[in-house]
Amino acid sequence: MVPDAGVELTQPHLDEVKQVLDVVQPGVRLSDYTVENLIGFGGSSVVFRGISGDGEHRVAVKFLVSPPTKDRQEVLQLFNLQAAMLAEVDDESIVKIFEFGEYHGFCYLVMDLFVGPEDDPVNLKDYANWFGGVIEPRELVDLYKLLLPAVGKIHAHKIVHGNLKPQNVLLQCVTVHGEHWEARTSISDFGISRILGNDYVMLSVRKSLRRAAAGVALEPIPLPQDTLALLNTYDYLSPEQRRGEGAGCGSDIFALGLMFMELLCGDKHPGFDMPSSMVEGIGPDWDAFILKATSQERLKRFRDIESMLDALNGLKCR
Amino acid sequence: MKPFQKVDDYVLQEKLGEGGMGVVYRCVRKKDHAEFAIKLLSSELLQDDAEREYFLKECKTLEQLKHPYILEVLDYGIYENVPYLVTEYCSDSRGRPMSLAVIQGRSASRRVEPYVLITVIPEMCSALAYIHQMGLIHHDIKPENVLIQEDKQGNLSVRLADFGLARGTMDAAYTRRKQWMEDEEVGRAVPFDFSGTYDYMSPEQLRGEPLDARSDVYSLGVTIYRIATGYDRLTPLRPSQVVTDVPEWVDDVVVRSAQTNKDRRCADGLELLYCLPKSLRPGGLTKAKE
Repeated sequence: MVPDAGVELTQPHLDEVKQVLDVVQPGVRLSDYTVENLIGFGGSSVVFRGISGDGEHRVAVKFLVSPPTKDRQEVLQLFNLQAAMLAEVDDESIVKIFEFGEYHGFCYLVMDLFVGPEDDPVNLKDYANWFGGVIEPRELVDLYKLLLPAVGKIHAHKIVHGNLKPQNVLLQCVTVHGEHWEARTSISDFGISRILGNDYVMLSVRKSLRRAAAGVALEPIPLPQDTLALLNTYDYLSPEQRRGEGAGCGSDIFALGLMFMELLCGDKHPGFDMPSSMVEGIGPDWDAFILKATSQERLKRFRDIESMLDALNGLKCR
Repeated sequence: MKPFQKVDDYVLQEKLGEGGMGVVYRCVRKKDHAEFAIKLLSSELLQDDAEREYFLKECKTLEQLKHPYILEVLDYGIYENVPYLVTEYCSDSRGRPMSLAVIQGRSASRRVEPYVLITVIPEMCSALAYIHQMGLIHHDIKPENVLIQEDKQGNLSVRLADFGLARGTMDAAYTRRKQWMEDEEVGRAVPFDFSGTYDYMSPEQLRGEPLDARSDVYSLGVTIYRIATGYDRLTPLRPSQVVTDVPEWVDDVVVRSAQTNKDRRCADGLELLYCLPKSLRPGGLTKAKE
């Protein structure tokens, strides 16, 4: 099958993605939904557009390229539990998952579809890249004032994201005024790491890393696209997750802090100067905010999202 | 291959580890019972005569590298189609294998004591400077590859290992190996910790760009940062801001090496050596430039 325009399969390493594409083609029916065109793929999934049977709901259908590490029945149970909990939260800043199923051996999730002004999916990373990889301090604070309460609401229901990264923050275009557009943000993949097993993310990453390290050679070989996507996941994992301990609220706070610094400075590691000396219009209070959120020790980070939000509200832009 | 098997002049002892493309054993030489380490590479590296020749040629290059802080290659050969390399055996005063990673693992904070840093950092820089002057690139600097030799008085000394080891030969086997890894089930025991390698790879190495000495400079910088702070990644904090006992010159070395932008790093190991205070620079090389 030839993927739709906008998604190029140029890497020879995308065998797993191709396996999904061989089986799942536009027009395939999954219980109440019909699969439409391909809209993208990441390290562990392939995402299609989809539409509900009555033609009213546009959805995204996410196929997992490798099977969950847990028993299927258990995954289904956890999924139903999680879906019920997410439904209870019912916040528009959380991407809702409608269905979990299996099609020809591949697990899939049906979720809300989010699109930018041109009707293609836009995540926070894409958005930052339009402006050279950085977001203005004032805009970033406004954005976090929306993001943090969303994460906090879910934490209140004892659900941890465990895999927060700019690619998991989706933008939905609400209105367009000429060149400007207004968007609301939604966080996707909430609790996915819990449903699929805490070790699922780590295993996919590790499997991919092994492949990557085989490429450490005299003649450099570019890392496959899917590996890079998983390394992205690895980059935002908190120290405790990397050690193989489970994710907690503190792990999400760590990832949010790291994302904050990356979006502010344009790099996850901008060097050994404090962000305030690199970005105009911000003071040392911003450095303290970032350092506290990204502390290596869980106990030294913000206690919870509320205290992080309080600190965020105290940040001043000059 | 298993313990007590004979490989040419050597008798294998216990397994020390697995890494890169081979398995490392402690071994003793039959004639005088001297202790060495032997690295047995996969026999799949040698599929034809050209590959055999290439392996031997590369070993010859490695054998010619002589530096106090580089692991010495003492012998090499092919035994029943298994290519092997014999090197000195690095151990602590009680004979246990020792590396920077071992020292790091001993502390819960994954930090290396400042008095150890004062010894190992200058020696690592010196070894790197030598390699770069020989026109080689290591490609894989990480705590596991910085072996430590401890003498009876407890003095530590670095032996940089595993660089450029039959790298070209490995390339030849890359395709075959990749296939093997993809066939492998997810969740099976990981034969060696690759995430370790990823943590120290330079950004350009990850992107698959052509590499120069600055890639090694980055990996060494990350190694120093992680052993000095115990952190699992780079942060804007300098080592002395994290651990007050760390001398300030360590900050200078890290700032001139662990930079995402390669233009902000030292050009090679020699330049990095000059970031050290004069009193800490190992002799020999320092005179060459002054």
